[in-house]
Amino acid sequence: MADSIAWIPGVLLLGAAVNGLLTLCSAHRGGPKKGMVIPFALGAPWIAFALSVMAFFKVKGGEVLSTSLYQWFDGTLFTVDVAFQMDSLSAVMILVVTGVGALIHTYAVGYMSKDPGFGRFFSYLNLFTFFMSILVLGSSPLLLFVGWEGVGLCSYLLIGFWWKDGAKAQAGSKAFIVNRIGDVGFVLGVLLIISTVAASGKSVHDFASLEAFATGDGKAALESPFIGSFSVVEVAGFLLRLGAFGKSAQLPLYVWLPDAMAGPTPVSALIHAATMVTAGVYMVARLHFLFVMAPTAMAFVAIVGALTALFAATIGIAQNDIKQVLAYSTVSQLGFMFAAVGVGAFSVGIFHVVTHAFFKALLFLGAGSVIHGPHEEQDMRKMGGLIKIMPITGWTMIIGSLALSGVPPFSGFFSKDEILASTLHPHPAFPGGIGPILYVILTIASLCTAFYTFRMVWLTFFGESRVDPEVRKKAHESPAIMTLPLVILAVGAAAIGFLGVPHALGGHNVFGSFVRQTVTSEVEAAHEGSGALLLVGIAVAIAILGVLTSYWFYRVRPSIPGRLFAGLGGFGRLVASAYRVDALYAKTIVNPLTRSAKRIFYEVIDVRFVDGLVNFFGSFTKGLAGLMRLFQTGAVRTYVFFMMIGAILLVWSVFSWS
Amino acid sequence: MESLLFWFFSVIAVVSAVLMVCFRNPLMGALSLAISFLATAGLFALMTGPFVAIMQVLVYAGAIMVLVIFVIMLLRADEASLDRERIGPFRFALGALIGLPFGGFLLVAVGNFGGKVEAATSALPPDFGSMKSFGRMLFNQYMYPFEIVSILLLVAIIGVVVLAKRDF
Amino acid sequence: MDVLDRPEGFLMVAAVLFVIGVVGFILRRNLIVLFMCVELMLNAVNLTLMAVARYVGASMEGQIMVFLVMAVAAAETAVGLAVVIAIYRKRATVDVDDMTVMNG
Repeated sequence: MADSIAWIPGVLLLGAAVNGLLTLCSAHRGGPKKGMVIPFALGAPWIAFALSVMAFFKVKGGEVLSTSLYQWFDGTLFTVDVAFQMDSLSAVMILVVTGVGALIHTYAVGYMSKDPGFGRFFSYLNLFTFFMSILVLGSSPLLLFVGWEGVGLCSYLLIGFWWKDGAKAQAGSKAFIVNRIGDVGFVLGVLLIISTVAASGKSVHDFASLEAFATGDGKAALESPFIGSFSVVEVAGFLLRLGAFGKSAQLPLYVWLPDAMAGPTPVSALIHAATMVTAGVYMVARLHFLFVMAPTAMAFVAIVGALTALFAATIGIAQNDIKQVLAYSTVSQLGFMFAAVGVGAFSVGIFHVVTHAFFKALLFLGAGSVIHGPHEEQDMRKMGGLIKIMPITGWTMIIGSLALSGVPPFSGFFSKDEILASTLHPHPAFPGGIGPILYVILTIASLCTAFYTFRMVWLTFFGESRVDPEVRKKAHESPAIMTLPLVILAVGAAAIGFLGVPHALGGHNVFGSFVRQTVTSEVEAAHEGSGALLLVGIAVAIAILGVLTSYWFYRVRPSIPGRLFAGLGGFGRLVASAYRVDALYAKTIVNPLTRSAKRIFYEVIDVRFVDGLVNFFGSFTKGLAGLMRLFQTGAVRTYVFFMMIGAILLVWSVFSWS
Repeated sequence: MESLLFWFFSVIAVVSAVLMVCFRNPLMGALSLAISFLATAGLFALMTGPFVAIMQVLVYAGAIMVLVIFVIMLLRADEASLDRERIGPFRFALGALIGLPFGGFLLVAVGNFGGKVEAATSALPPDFGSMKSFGRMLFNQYMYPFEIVSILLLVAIIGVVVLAKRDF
Repeated sequence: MDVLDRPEGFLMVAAVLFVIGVVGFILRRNLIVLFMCVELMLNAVNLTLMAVARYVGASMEGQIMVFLVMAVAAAETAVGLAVVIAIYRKRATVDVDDMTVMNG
C-alpha cells in the first residue's frame, strides 16, 4: 500500500488542498504566510518526484505497476475503475511531470515571492501537477480525460492568474474556449470507441484491454465503414486528434498558446511548454494501437504537425517579445512531435517531449529571470548585453538555445534528428510518398528554429545594452532559488539526449527501446549506414547554418534585418503579425458568433423569453391583485353579499348531488 | 292544537325579526329580536327540546339580549346614529331585490327536503330531549367539546377585560 | 298531514329568519343592529339543527350542537360588543360606512 503509485497524485492533491484551504482561511488578511505555504508547495512535487523515481526503477525491471482505488461507475454497457497504471510510457511522462515540475515549483518560490497571491498560485500549481499525474497515470481513456480537463482548468486559472488585468483574464478564457473545441473531438472519439467496444459485448475500458480488443477480436468492428468509406477507427482517430490539436496547440487551434503567455512565467514553463501541451502527444502515443489502424488519420496528423512546425517557426522569427518567441517556438516544436507520432515513430515523439521539456522549461525560466532582472521588461529590443549582468541566466539559456537549435551534442539534436530521420522511414502503415515532403518542411522549420533561437540570444545577451539607464542600475542576477533550477535544467538539457543516441552514431537508443516496451505497435526504424549518417550531417549543417546566419544578421551586420524587413514589405508585416490569424478568426468565427449570440440568445431568448417570463409573472400577479382589490371594499356588507352567494352555491350543490 | 302553536310561534318569530331590521332605533330592534328569540324557544319546545328551549330563553333572550341593550344604552346609539340612517322605500326595494330570490331559493330547496330525505318520526326514544339524557350525552360523549367551549368562554372574558381597559 | 310530523315547516321558518338576517345585515349600517342580525342568523341555524336532529337523525346530537353554538354565540357577543365600545370610544360612531379603512 505504501508503495502504491496512487500516492503520487495523492501527495500532489494534498499539497493543493492544504494550500487552497490556507489561502481560503486567510483571505481576510491577504493570504497565508509564505512560510506556511512553501513546505507544502515544494514538498508535494518533490515527494511525488521521489515516489516516481522509486516506481520508475520497478518499471525499468519490466514490471507494470497498477493499482485500483475504487469503482468509479458501473454502467450496463461499461464499468470504469479509478485505477492507475505505470508502464514505461507513463513512467517517462511522470518523471518529466514531477521532476521538471518540482524544479519549476522551486523556481516559482523565488519568482512569485513578492506576489500577494502566493498561496493561491501554489494551490493552483499543485492542483495542476495533480491533474497532470492523473492524466499520465490514469489507466483508462475516461480517467485520462479527467486529467485532461483538470489541467485545462488549471491552465485557465493560471493564465488568468492576474485576472485584474482584463486582457490576461481574456487570454485565460480564450485558452479555455479554444481547448473546448478540441475537447469535443476528444469526447466524441472516446465515446465512439466505447460504443464500439460495448457493441461487441465487452465492458472493460482500460488501455491494456482496449489494446487487446483492437488487435484481437475487435479489429473487424473497428475497421468496419462508419462514415462513407472511413472506418470507425479512422473517424475516432480523427476526432481524438482534434482533441490533441486543441490541447497541444496545433493548426488551426494553436491561437490560444501565444496568448497564454499572459500567465506568470513559471506557468508558461510548466504548463505551456513542458507538460500540459505535450498531453496531446502522450495521448496519441498511448492510443498507438488505434492510430496505426488509421493510415489516413496518421497522414493527416503528420502533415498538420509539419505545417504547424514551419508556420510557427516563421512567426517566431519576427517576434520581439521574448516570451512570444518562446511561445511560437513551443507551437513549432509540438509540430515536430506530432509529425513524429504521425509517421508512427511514437517513441521518437515522446523522446522529443522529454528533451523539449528540459530545454524549453529552461528557456522559459531563463526568460522569466531576464524579465525579472531588468524590471519586468519583455521586449528584446530594450535588452542586450545582459550576459554581463546575469551570467548564470545567460549561459544556461545559451545551453538551452543550443539544445533547441539542434546543435550536437545537446539533447535537442538527438531527438530532432530522429524525427527528421523517421519521416523518411515511417511506420509500414503510413501512406508512402508523403515522408520526403515532411522531411523537407521540417528541415526548413529546423533552420528557422536555429535562426530565431539565436536571434533571441544575440538580442538579449550580447551587443550594446539597449536597456534604459535608469532600469539598468537596478538590473541584477536572480536569487539562488531561481538560478539553481536553471543550472539543473541546463545540465539536463545538455545531457538527456544521450539516452537516445541512435544506432547510426554507435548508440543503442536506450530510451526508444524502453518506451517501446509499452508502445508495441511501433516498428523500430532501421536507419543505418551511410544514408543515416548523411541525414545526421544535414541536420547538423542546418542547425549551424541557422546559428551562423543569425550571428551574421544580428551581430556582424545589424542593419540587414531592418532592410530585409523593409524589402519584404507587406509579407514581412504579415509574418510579424503572426499571419493575422487572430484577426481572421475574429472576423470569420468570433464576431459572427458573438453577433449571432447577441441576436439570438440575448435579444430573443434572454430579453424576450427569460425576461418576458419574469415580467409576465410580475404583471400577472399585479393584475390579479388589482382584480382582487376590487373585492376588498372594506365595507362589511359587500362581504356578506359574497357570503350569501357562497351559501347559495353550497345549498345548491348539496341538493343537486344527493 | 300543537300545529296551531307552530303557526303562532312561527309568525311571531318572523314578524318580530322583520321589525328588528326595520326599526331605526336599535333599542326597539333589540326588543323585537328578544321576542323573536322567545318565539324560537317555543318552536324548540315543540320539537321535543325542552332543555334547549329553556337555554334559549335564559341565554339568548336573557343574557345576550340584556348585554346588547346594555351596550346600546351605554353608547346612547339611538341618538348617535338615528339622525343619519334613513330607512326609506329605496332600502325596502333593495332588500326585496336581494331577499326575495335568496329566500325563494332557500324555500324551494327546503320544501323539496322530503323528496330527498326520509323523515324518521316514529322511532323516537321515549326520553328524547329530556334533561337527563341530554346531560348524559353532554358529559360523556361530548365532554371535550364542552370543556373546550368553557375555555373559550374564559378566553372571551379575559379578552373583553383587555379590550375594555385598553385606551386605543 | 300535520305540520309537526315533517321537518319542512321548521326548516322554512329557519330559512326565512336567515334571509331576514342577511338582508338586514346588508341594508343596515348600525354596528349593533348588524350584531343582532348575526344573532338572528345563528338562531336560524340553531332552528335548522333542532329540526334535523328531531326529524331526520332522531338523535340528540343536534341539540348538543345547539347548546354549544349558544355558548359560542355568548362569547362572540361579549367580545364583539367590547369591540363596538372600543370603536365608539375611538371614533364616536357605530356607522359601518365610516369604517372602511381596510379598503384596498
